[in-house]
Amino acid sequence: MKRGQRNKAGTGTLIIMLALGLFLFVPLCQAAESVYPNRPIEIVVPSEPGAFGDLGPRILGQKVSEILGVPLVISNRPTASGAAGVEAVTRAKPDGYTILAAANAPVILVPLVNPQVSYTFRKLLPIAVFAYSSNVLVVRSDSPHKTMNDLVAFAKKNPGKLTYGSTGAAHISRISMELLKEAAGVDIVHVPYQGGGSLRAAILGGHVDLAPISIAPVLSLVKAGNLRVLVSFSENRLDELPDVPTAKEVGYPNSVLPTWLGYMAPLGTPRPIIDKWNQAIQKALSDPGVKSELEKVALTIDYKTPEVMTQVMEREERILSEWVKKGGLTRK
Amino acid sequence: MDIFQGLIYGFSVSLQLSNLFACLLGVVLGTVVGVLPGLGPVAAIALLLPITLKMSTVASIIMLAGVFYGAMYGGSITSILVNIPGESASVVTCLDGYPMAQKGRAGPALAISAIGSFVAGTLSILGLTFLGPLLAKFALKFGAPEFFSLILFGLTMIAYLTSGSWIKAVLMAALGLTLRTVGADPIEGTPRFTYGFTSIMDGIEITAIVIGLFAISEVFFNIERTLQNREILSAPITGLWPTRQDLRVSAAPIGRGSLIGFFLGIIPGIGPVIPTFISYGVEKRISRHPERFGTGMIEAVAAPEAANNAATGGSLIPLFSLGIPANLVMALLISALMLHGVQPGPLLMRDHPEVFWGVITSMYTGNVFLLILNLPLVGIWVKILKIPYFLLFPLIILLCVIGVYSVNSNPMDIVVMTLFGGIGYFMRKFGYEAAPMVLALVLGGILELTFRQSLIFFRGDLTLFFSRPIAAIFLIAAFLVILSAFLPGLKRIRSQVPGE
Repeated sequence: MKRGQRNKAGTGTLIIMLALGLFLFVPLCQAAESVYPNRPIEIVVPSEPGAFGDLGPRILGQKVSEILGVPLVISNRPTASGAAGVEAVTRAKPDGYTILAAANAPVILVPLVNPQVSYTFRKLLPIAVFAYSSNVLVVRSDSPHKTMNDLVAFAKKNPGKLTYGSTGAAHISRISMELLKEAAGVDIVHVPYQGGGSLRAAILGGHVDLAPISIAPVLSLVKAGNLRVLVSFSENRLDELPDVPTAKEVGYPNSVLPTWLGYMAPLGTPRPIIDKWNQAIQKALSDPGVKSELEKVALTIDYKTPEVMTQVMEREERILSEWVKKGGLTRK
Repeated sequence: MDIFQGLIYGFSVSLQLSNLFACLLGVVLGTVVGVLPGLGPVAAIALLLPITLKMSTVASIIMLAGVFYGAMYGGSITSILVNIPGESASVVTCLDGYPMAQKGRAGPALAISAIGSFVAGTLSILGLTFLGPLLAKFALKFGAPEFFSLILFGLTMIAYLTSGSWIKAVLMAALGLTLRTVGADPIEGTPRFTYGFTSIMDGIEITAIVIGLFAISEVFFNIERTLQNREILSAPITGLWPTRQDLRVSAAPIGRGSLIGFFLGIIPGIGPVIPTFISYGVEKRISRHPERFGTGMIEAVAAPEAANNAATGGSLIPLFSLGIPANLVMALLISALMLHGVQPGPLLMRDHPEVFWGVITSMYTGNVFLLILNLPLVGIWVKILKIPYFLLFPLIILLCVIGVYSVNSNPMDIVVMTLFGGIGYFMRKFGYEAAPMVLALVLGGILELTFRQSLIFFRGDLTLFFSRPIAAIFLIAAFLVILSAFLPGLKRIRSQVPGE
């Protein structure tokens, strides 16, 4: 990992790193036509620093940078739920020096719910999916609802009495919950919070009854006995919680929506560059160090080819757009 | 392990040479990013995250925490010298710190903010050490209605943020709240007043507005003065150190600022900004010379500086005992812990005592480092004021542009900053103060969110706010502050101002 930009900067000063970040935006006019890549590549991350949409590409990026032999410089563009970052990449020069660290929320969900956003995932070329993170439905451990069936039975008898908090109106975990509500035919009131931190405080403090939330930050609260997981919105049972059923098992297959992370490039990027990236990602993922570091932030390695990635995005777009058409976000 | 064993064990960790070095590095970097406007601890910690993978867990967290409280020290420096709030928590420091510098008392202002920060930092770590787990439970009692009432109370502090017209202050606050509604609505995500611009979907960047209103408008104003051949400093630079009198009047405000900062810092979502405004308001309310606030009162620098540093200690409580981040910086610390395979939360103290006690004790040493670093630097910082203004102002503008851009890498923010620089210039010309507007901007988002969350919980019934004891107390307090504006005590303050 010695060649990575960020490690070199470790011995330098913060200011130098900043200056580098800044100058990336100055179009570098170089004699092209040499072997790709021959200069730093900008990775646009459409989420805030420290969110796992940011941690994933940071961890994998170190290895990828070593394989490609050039620094990868991360620029966080979280504005408008990441739409600003995705939009910037759709407009970037398709020369392989601007790559999007994609995730399903900014690429697929945001354009469906935000009328101002004009892109779709078809404006970008898929490179690969590299990992996913699962969302789970938690209650406080002193909650009377022990299983999903208990909960649905209670909610049916008491419509509008239960509340659930979300990390935000247009977040994947919230959509899973809404799809579950729809399939179960129950009325549970939605209270949006801003981010996972305030939602965890709300569920622990008993201000909301339920919370669909990413597993990583609540795992320790589950293990410490403060929270209980009712169901996981993942394809398979989670390694950390083998006793927890998946939404599919309890009869709500549509609400299985993992948050995946991958890479995409601007439309028109030459095929050899996409292939080079794809191979670099595969190689990086086979590194045991990368695997364990991704696992520490509850990201599971899940490599998908560009073709499979397109299928995944088509399925999600179909499910989500149906839901949005039926009233989606604005529905209580 | 009881507290004293824990502390001794912690010091045995944090005083190891490598950890001591990590602490020093963290606080120095923190001071640097605090000085640079816009570039706050969030950006710095995000940049440092991958580097920490090469360090031990304890050393990484010690360093990153150091960046956070170091930034609180650094933020006050540019506020005092050139009226640039290094980060939002330093806005209040500008109000009296910059007038002190103009009167030639930059030295005492810088020194008292370092001393106040040190005392408050130390007090809040003591609080964290001895009261931590107890208070974490209290913090969880804050649901949406409690937040809303607390924020509403915070907003009444505009009564104390102005030395001029009360009506103008309310107008500015209303304008601030209105500006805050730009962007996606916090409940449904519907875009409001965005006119098709994606770049303002998340609202107008507050850092850009704040730096525009304070720093850029000050530059415009000073250029005008320079053109008229008037001096920017109204008095020659006198003594570098606070006098005995300065220290005496600052002691109690530092204590009160520390308490306010610490207790508000514990509550997730409050952050270090709100405590600074509230502690300024409290000082002005109980001062015997409230009319002189805003003209360079040393206690008005000391109290908010103490408050923002105490808030950093407070905000570690929910992090360490529950794994809940009190603010964005804490969210990053959680990511850092997880990158090292440490799960923050109730089990942290048991499973990783070296992290828990090591980090806490490193903060004692870190605060000593900061004091030792900052006091000798006062002399050097003050020399900046001797640079001819035609050389200084392009530098200030450059710093502001870089700083504002670095927040979101969003070029629109530079346009916003410039625009608000112009607006701020005219506001100043016509006697409208920027502080009430900034307070409203900072509080507006969470005010709206928690109000609407509360309405969802209460099914639209407003009277239910009074069914929650904590919420009721803050609502009554807010009401009393507004009422007191019409009572003799406060009227006296206002009537005396024009005679200044």
